[in-house]
Amino acid sequence: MEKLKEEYDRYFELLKAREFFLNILLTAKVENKEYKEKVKKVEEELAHYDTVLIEKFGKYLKTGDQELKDFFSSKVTTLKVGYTRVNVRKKAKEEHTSTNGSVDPNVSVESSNGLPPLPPDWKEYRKVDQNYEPMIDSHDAFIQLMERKKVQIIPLVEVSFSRRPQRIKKKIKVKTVKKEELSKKRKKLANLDKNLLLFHEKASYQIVGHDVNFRDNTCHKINEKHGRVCGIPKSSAREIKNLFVNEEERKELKNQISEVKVRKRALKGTNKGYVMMGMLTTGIVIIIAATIFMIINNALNH
Amino acid sequence: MQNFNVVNENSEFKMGSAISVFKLPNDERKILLFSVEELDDSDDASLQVAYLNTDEEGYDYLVPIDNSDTFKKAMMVVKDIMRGGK
Repeated sequence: MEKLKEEYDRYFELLKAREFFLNILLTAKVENKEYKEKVKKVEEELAHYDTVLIEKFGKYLKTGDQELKDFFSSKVTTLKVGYTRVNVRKKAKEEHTSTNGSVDPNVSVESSNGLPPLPPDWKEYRKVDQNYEPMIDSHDAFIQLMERKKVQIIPLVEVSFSRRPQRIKKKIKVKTVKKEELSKKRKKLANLDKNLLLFHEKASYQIVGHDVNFRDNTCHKINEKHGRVCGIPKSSAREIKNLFVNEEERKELKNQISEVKVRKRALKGTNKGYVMMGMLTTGIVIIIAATIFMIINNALNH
Repeated sequence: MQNFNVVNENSEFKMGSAISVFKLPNDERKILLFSVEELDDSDDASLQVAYLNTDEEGYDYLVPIDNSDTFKKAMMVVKDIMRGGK
């Protein structure tokens, strides 16, 4: 209960802080980046508390706990003033809205109820202002607010999960044996455990070319419960293993083939050299022999 | 990739098979993705991750990943590997 109160207290503090900063923004004649930033931070924290409150306070308040109700009432009084002030501000804006409902953002006028003039860019603040909830004056109204927020939050969560993650740029392109077949297998394997499907975030990692070298005849102690990613059938585990083993083997084979090709090319080049050298040597020997024969023949004739 | 014997926290003996080794960003420790199969006739197996350390003699050994954030990141990597991300 005490922890709940603390969270509850913080929630109302944040609401008040938001109201305070927004009020400054709404009445400011020039843009105030500092307070805009403050509102943003408060909004972020409030979003967290919204989800907490829906689950916790909603339940507790429905039980009608008197202590919490009293605590709630003491907070509501302060909050009501803040919200009333904002509602007056909203009304002031509505007065400056044209008859067809459109708003002229360039108009900066003195309001009739004595409030400070609206800043020229108040249209932008209006967006923030929409985050204001209606006045809360009872714990039933608070529960209604929480339930409405629950309805609002759930679709947002679904949207964020329905987005597909961006793929990481492939550093090394390795063609698989049958790409389509393998991608089907992988899809099937990835679908085996729903827990894995929850992770749509971008995964950043580096595959390491490391040949695992375990000591022979040893048994490795593992914590199966902590290290478990997902459960799969044995057949699927073997498929995965083969998938990676084949890729490893194929890479090795590819390297071997390229090595053989280089050797063969070098060998071919060497043979050509030998043949050429042989032919040249034979030619030179024949020429020298013919010359000697001619010289001897000439000398004999002479 | 090779098979190895494993014993879990309940002192049950099983067969492990190394699948792939990867590293997370800003972390020099190697993580091994491996499968663990029951030795009996059941069809149960699981994919597991653990740190892969090397001892002074050059032999590898496994260390459980205790940090939940690291484990979550490793799970994301496994999913990406299964989908053919790299």
